[in-house]
Amino acid sequence: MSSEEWPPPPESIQTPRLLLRRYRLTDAEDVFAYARDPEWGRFMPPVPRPYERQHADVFVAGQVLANWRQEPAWAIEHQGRVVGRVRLRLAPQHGRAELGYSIARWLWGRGLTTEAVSVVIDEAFRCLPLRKIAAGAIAENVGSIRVMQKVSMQHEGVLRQHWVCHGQTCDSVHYGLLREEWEQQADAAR
Amino acid sequence: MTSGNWPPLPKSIQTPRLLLRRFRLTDADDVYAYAQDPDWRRFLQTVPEPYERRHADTFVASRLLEDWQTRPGWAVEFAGQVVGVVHLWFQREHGRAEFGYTLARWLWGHGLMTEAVSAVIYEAFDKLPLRKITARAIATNIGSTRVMEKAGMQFEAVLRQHHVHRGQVVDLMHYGLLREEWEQQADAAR
Repeated sequence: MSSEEWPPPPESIQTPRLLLRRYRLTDAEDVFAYARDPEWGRFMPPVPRPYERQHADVFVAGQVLANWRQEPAWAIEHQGRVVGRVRLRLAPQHGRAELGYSIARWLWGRGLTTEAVSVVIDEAFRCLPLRKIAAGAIAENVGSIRVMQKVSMQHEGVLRQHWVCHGQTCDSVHYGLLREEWEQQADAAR
Repeated sequence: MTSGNWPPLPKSIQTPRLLLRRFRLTDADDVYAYAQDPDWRRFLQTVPEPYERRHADTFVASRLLEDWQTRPGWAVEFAGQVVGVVHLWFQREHGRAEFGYTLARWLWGHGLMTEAVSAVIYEAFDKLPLRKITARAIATNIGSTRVMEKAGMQFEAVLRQHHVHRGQVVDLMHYGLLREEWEQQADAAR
């Protein structure tokens, strides 16, 4: 089954505290505001350093141009401002999606990423014939790993010294959530 | 470090029982001889089904055309006949190489694959500034996971239901060998 045959995931999702929606070119200002913080990008290997305004433009342009059916990416809007992103990368031939996410540092520790990620997981399993959602993080990125645990993803392993991230060698931690695990959770929550 | 700075690996490696060397166009007959066996290709992702003579030609031709510097691949020669392959590819920015391997079914169980793989691991760590060498296999491919274990690699992760392989959902096993582990092994063997 090719991803073009999969229905597109919803372009806008409301949660108690957040609005997830497609990126607009006018979001570059907001992205720059949080991405210029070096602490924010510390655990994300591809984030440029130093982070300049043009990097935010290129990032937002990439989000706007991305094929929604292959790589849906939602801007996380909090109190009218874009403060992060949740994206899926679909591998339809394997019935799998790779999940990625980030949020402005000033909002860390309030469960907002978990709120955004859970709703994306729910929508993805509901609308797409996925068997699994997978995610990974650098081992030192405790906040990111906590998000995966809070959405009930299972630890699958650690690829040791797998990445060089901003000059440092890092372990890569892998989590996964199978459809049957997600269904059990959904049942338990009812 | 860019690809230009890495020296090429030797095009020919002699082990006690095997010769690893570059492919030649005249190897297509030998490749076809082992690749026809459906049990041989059961765990291999990219091998065509059914396997025809032209597939062996295409395989040998593509190995010949591959850039040796970035994707070296050795024909495994045993008693004058090509009976398998070991090949490497690099993630240079992460100081990492991944390898893949295969051997004719009639030679399984004699430690020949381990002999070939260990020789390639030795050359790769000896000649290149690698920090890690990785490999992976489908969980049910016990012969392949045995090779990784016998080559001293450490089990790092099992990504559950991660691939669809020939219509079956399979778990993927990841193994890795760090340079310091390889050095300890080499010291112990001395």
